[in-house]
Amino acid sequence: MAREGLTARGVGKSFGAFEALGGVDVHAPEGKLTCLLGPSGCGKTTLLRILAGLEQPDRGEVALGGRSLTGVPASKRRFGFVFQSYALFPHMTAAGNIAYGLKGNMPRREIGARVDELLKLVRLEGVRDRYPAQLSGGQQQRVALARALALQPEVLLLDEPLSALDAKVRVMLREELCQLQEKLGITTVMVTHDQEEALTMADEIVVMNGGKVMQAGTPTDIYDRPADPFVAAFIGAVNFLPEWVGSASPDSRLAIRPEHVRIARADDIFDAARRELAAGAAERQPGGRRTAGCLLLAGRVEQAQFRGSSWRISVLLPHPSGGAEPALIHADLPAHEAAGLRLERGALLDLALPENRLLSYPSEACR
Amino acid sequence: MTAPPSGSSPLQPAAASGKPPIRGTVLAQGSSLILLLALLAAGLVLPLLFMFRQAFLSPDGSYAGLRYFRAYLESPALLNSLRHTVCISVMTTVIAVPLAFLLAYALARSAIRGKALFKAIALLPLFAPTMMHGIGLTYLFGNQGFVTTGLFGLLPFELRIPLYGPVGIIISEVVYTFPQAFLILSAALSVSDYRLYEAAETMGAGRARQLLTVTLPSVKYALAGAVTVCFSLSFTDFGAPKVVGGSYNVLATDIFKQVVGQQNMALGAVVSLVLCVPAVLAFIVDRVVSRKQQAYVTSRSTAYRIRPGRLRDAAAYIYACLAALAIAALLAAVVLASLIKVWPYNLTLTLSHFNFADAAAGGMAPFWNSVRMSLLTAVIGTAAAFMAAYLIERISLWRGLRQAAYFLSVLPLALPGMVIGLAYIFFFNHPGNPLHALYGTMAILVLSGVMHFFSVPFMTASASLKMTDKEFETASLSMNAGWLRTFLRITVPLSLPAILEMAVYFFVQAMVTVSAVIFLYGPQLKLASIAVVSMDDAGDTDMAAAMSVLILGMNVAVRLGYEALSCRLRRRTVAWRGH
Repeated sequence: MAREGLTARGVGKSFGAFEALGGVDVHAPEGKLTCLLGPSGCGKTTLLRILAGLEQPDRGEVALGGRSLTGVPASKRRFGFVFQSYALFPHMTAAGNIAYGLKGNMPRREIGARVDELLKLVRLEGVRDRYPAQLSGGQQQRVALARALALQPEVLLLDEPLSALDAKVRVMLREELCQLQEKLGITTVMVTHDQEEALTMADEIVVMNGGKVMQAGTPTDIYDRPADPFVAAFIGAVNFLPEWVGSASPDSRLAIRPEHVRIARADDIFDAARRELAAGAAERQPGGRRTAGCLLLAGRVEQAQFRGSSWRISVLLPHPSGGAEPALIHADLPAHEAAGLRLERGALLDLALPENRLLSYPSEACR
Repeated sequence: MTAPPSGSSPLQPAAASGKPPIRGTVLAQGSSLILLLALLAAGLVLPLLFMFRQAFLSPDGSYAGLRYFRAYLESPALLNSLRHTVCISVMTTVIAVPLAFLLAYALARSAIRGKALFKAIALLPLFAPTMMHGIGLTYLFGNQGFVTTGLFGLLPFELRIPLYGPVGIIISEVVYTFPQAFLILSAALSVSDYRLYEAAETMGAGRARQLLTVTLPSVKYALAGAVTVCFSLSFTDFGAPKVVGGSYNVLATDIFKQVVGQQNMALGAVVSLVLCVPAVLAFIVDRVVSRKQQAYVTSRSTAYRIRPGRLRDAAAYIYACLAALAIAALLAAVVLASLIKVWPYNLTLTLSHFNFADAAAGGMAPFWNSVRMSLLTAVIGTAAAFMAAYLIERISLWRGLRQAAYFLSVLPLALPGMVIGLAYIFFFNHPGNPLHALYGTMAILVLSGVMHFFSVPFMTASASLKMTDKEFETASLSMNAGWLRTFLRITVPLSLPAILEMAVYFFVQAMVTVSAVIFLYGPQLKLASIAVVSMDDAGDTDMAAAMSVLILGMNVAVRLGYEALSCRLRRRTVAWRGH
């Protein structure tokens, strides 16, 4: 079946005994920005280099719009590639770098105009004749981008394009890059290990680990419904609840993100649950009670950290019969909600875990 | 100027125990620096000044002004030599640099087997005196040469080239300068940045364009360095023109004739100054180059990855084989000739040429003199060069003096051996010089060797000291260890690999050198390299060959010993060196 966009099918690659990619399927939809996200060593850069033709896969194939690219060398694919830390030619000016790919592909007198156009696109008109060493990190990054876009490639590949920049410039360029990608409507694949970068920039995220694709989907999909414990823990934070809490079957465990944990108190939406808790306080069950769409748990404050806009509260859940280690759960509470709560160590606190926010995974996957 | 922070430990009250060590340290460091400057003055500055002065003096000691410079410019014979020398140097450079670049490129950028062997053979000429290349050529291409006679008559035709003269000198100089250029270019090619090749590739550049736009720009400073080194080495070489030059005079042989033959000191001094010109230019280029080369690679660069390419590998393999074969054949011819009774008439093997009994040289004494001189040069030179680098890099006394010492330490790079030898004659042979007693002794030979070859080991030591963290020494001093103890227990062990390398360099160079010492040896103190020249002069070419083989063998043995030792050292220290 021919699909629009860039597709990798069953791509595998080993370096000696190390299997970098174990047969992955990835689809980057036409005109969208797809992020390959994962910890270092997960194979994401190898996959990107295979897409570019800089690396040959041991098996599987890469196709663009249904047309196989097997056997097409990097120099003939005409993909734009932005290297991690840019790899600008140190002995050529910004304009020289950008013009490099144009020479031989365009009449000589048109090159100057095209270079100017590209410099304008990345808002670097002023540095035309400077050498890379005379440019700031952000400027080098934009020259690299202009250089990659010079030949109007069908596909733009970015290898951790923002990782070499300091935090402020990174956030600014993140927005610029997104706007540019949207404006040009170019199919883009970007490698990153920064989950925040992926969530804010991507149309599609492919989460990878150990040479395998763990999950692919939109940012909200992946954040709200992580397919397995690795994805849940890698993107955002997550509490894995002890086996004795709330589980319907002994083979599965529940998990919840800290910002989804609520504190039950009289004056909020969990009012009903709270009253019920108070009434049945004597018969609190191990593993909590389910009521009003929430799983209710009682614990004691272990630690509370103020984080500006929120509080991170660590709550110790004692095993009701004392038969197991107490479990620690983190809750992120907006600062205004935390106002008025007693948060000193040892204070009693009732937690409400909304059932629609609970994640459930097979027990063995959580180890 | 502050003293090293021996008293700066917070645990140690500066007033009580801190003061005396500081004063002791300053005293020790200061006196070491003064000692070093005295050595550089006696071994370098004063002799050069005396030589410079000599160019303006007539034989009776009166001021002659520019008379000898005019005499030089008006002498057709001398100007002819200058033209010859320039011609030799240009041709050598034009041939040697591309050949060396091709081999360096083939070894750095292909996946062929046996790279270590090819590299070893390419570097072999460094371990032989330049006369040996000339002698090898006479055995291959001379009147009775192996090739000339059509492989001793095995072939139906003869192959005569006009060896004696420019052709022979140029081939010898190419063999001599090839390893130097190869080393410089290999180093540059091995540090290039693979990301740039990938970037070029994603932008559609083919192999040829990558070579022109990425490879060549990244090695352009090394190319400049190789060009100047080849030019200045072949400009000043004495050994090869002496053996295969015939009546084709060059500057280096002119100096020898003016000074030793005609006792025309002033004209010799003038020619020496001319001889210095390209070396001084090379020196300046080298300074600029070494500063610029570093900026090309950054910590983010990735190592070059050799992609599969069978055609390229085949071409690289063939070229590397040819290059290795040419060098090996040349040296093998000398080895063979030294073992053959009468080349080419009686090809039975014999060791009689190694007797040196009836030779003008006088037995094995010159060889052992050379070994002794080289050992002393290695020990004293290494100590002096390391001390110099340490004093310049690490202490904070007298900035001006340290800068002067640095300049003097790298200056020998710009001094041809003949110039050093001649300068030493003028200085040490001066009747009023209290150091006059050194003249004709082992001491002056060693001093000339130490000074002549000082710069490269000095820079090796500097680089090694720059790489080791200064904090180790600060830590040792803060634990109240004295300066000398810190130096011996911390600094020296950390730089041990560099120190070994320096010593081997001094030894090998001292074994093969002829240019400086040919003016300086005493009647009882002939050296092996000089014996080669005089035996060849006397027509005992087979014995000259035998002596060359001994020199080469000794150098290769020392080098192999060094490799074994540094390999063991690496294995023993791998735990704390971490790689």
